[in-house]
Amino acid sequence: MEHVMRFLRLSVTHPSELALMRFASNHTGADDPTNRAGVARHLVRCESCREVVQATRAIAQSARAFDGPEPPRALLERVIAERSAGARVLLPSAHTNDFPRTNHTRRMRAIVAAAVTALVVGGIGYQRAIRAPNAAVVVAARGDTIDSAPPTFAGHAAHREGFFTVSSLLPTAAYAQSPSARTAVIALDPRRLRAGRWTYELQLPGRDSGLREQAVVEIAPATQGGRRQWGVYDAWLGHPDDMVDSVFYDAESLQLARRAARRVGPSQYTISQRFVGDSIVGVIQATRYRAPTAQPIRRVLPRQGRRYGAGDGFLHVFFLGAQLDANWHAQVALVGWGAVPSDLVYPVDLRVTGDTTLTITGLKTPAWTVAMSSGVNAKTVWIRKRDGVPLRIVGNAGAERGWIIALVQERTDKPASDGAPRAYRLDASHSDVGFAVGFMHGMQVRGRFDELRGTLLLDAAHPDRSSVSMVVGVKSINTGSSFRDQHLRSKDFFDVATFPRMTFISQRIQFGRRDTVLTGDLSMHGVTREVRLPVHLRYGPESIPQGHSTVGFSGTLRIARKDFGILGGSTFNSWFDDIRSATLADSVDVTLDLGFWDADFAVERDAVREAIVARVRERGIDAVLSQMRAMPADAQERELPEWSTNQAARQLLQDGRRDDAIRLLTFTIERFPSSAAAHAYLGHALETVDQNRARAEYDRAIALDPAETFALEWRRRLGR
Amino acid sequence: MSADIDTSSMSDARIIAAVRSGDGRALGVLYERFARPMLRVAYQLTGSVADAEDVMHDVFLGLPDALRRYEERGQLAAWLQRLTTRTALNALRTTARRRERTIDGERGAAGAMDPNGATSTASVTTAPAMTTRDASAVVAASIDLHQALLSLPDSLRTVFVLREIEQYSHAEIAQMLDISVSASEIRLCRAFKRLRATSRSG
Repeated sequence: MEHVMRFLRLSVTHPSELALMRFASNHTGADDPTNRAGVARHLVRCESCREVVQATRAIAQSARAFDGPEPPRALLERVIAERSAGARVLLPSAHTNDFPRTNHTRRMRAIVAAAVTALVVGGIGYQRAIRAPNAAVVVAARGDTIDSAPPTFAGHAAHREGFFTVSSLLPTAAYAQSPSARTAVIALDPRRLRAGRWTYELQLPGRDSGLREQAVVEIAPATQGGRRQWGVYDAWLGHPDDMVDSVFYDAESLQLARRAARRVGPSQYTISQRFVGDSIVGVIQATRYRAPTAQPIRRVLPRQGRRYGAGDGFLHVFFLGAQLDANWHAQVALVGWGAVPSDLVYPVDLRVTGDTTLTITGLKTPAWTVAMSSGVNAKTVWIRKRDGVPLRIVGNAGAERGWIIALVQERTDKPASDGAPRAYRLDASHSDVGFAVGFMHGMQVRGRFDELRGTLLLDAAHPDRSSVSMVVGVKSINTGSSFRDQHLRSKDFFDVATFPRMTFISQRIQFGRRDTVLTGDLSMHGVTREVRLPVHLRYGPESIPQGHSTVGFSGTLRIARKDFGILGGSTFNSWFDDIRSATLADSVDVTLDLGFWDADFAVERDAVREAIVARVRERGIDAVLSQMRAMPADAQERELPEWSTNQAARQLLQDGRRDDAIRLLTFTIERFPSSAAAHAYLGHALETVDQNRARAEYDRAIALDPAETFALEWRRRLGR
Repeated sequence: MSADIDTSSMSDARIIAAVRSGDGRALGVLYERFARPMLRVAYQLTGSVADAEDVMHDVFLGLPDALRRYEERGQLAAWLQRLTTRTALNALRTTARRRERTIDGERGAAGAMDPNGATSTASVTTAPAMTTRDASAVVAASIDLHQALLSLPDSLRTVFVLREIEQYSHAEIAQMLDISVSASEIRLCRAFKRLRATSRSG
């Protein structure tokens, strides 16, 4: 009995320090989560906790008696003298219901020349003070107020060292004049507007070299009240203060219809606006410092007969909807958020000033040079002639100088080439096939296979006809113990010498709303069984800016190893005797993390591939091949890596240059007769010419490398 | 406003009116009546006499304008205390930023431990330890505790001062410091823990 009591006493948990502090402070209300009675009972028994409470109370009591320094009389005299000399300071508001103004601040302790003060003060709720080493530094300040409770302030101040925004509690188009603004305008010609999605990258070489920001613009059809609209979505990718802006235009007139913007991050707000006749109505809902507010927007648009654009970063839409020529000139207006009276219209003047060829990341593109100006701000934009995509922007204002927008992704709405499935290769460095099996009393042995190959044929038009093959090199088994790995490779387990590969060949893929089920044949240790593998689509298929399309799945599978004849023996390791062997569980949990990729040739950079393709286009395949053949063997080896020539052949095939691709692959096979990949690609190129030759090439590839899953998959498909 | 009015007996309302109109003597009356608790909170929040006096300087310089926004619906003393608190918190943020850039000896460990050493920029100073009290053991312990408080990190000290001395609720503190209510409570708990450690070791 006594030891039970001791056990119970030992197992007593002390209240948290937070609970003890709450108990000590006595400032507890009904919402106090602390179990006061429980703490009190504990204190009766626990001396150390009692001491904590007593010490806390003593400290709190002493703290209330702390005295401060004596207020120096000279301080008051200095204040009175400075005040009579005209010095002023703006103080934060001390009303209990006001927002605390903590962010966006500049130096607070300030003596501001009285003239400047008068500009900023003007009865606004939020006041800011600037102490400058000398008053001349502050050149100008301007404030706008929003005439409602709680009072807010939006404005900017010009500083000798460049622009900065003093404070802006609610976002307004005042941002349009800050360095971070992107010029916003709209489409002019509804017939030229097309759906699409573009990713672009902003580089700010002048300010933070190396800083790249990515954004995406998407144009998609929408409807509202039966009216067809174009929805334009604009968002930064992965930005901490993510902003998603959606503007909807009437599909026929391109009149602004409505707008919704949402910002996540530390300060959140949601804006919804409708454009009705000559007015903007809507509301800005903001959550700042956990206090929600709603700010109504009711503004009349000035009657200036201009076209109005809205939002940030809609440059793409604008130029996609305009037919540029050498004499082109237009005027539009940027509509602000209507949160402050002056926040409505920024007239923007646009004019084609040049016809040039732009080189970005090695590609030469014919482009128009367009000058854009709004007030003192001027920007030059280079617009690709082919489709109106802006490629580069250079601005004049402060830190804005030297902006470059590099388009990193072509429009992705074009259909995949003639509906054929797209082949994705397994990306072994971003995939994982692991397993876990129980052993002895509750132990687990975990391991993985390092050597993975695979091909996924994704058929966008007929998803159910997609298929996948995977090959695992069994000898790459890795359980973190090389001795155990040797045992597992031996005849006792996997018998790698006889059965070097494990394969999974899908028979059916059923795409569900959430999960996808792969049903197929799993071959291992000479035994083939049908397994059902539910997987979850983790990402994709989507194009990433580095020039690849990716798609990723994960899933788990439980198999019975004895079904595959993997029984476990002690030939290799006598320690693993019958008794220990019997404790090794039959069921093995397999976890799969599979990433597949395929190159987007329009975006992916590969100098050799691009050079080959460009020269074939310019001079024809014969000239290119004879030039290649003329190269010495060592130069061929150095400058014509097999990977790049194969990729060049694939790109030529994609471009419809089938015969050129076949010629190039035949040459590659002459150079590398045992290259399974070259035979596989040649087979694929031959499919539309001669299916029997294609089959033969696939078979040759598989004979050279049984794990050449690209050939396996296409061969399978051709057979069907 | 005639010169012979005895400003020391004026009501708050009349002083406010006089200060608003720019009367320097009325500002002096406010200073006499309220400066001591204001300077104390500024000192405890910034942890430095020099910074506290800068805060007081700004507050009194801006007071005639700020009082135009004062609505006589609460206690003037409480309003002034809040004004000082907010100004001091702003000042603390800017000094924190400044300290990130330059190693500032003024508010280093030695400065916090010895307020007298930190007053090179202030015109007149009296350290809290120099107040007219018996130097009994209890008071000495209290002074040690006060210095321990001043040497706490800003994040803990501000919460402790606002909650335990200025008696703001955790919800108000959370709003003033832009942290969550539970973060305020946890910081207070950590401040107590450090102060307990000081009083034990002392």
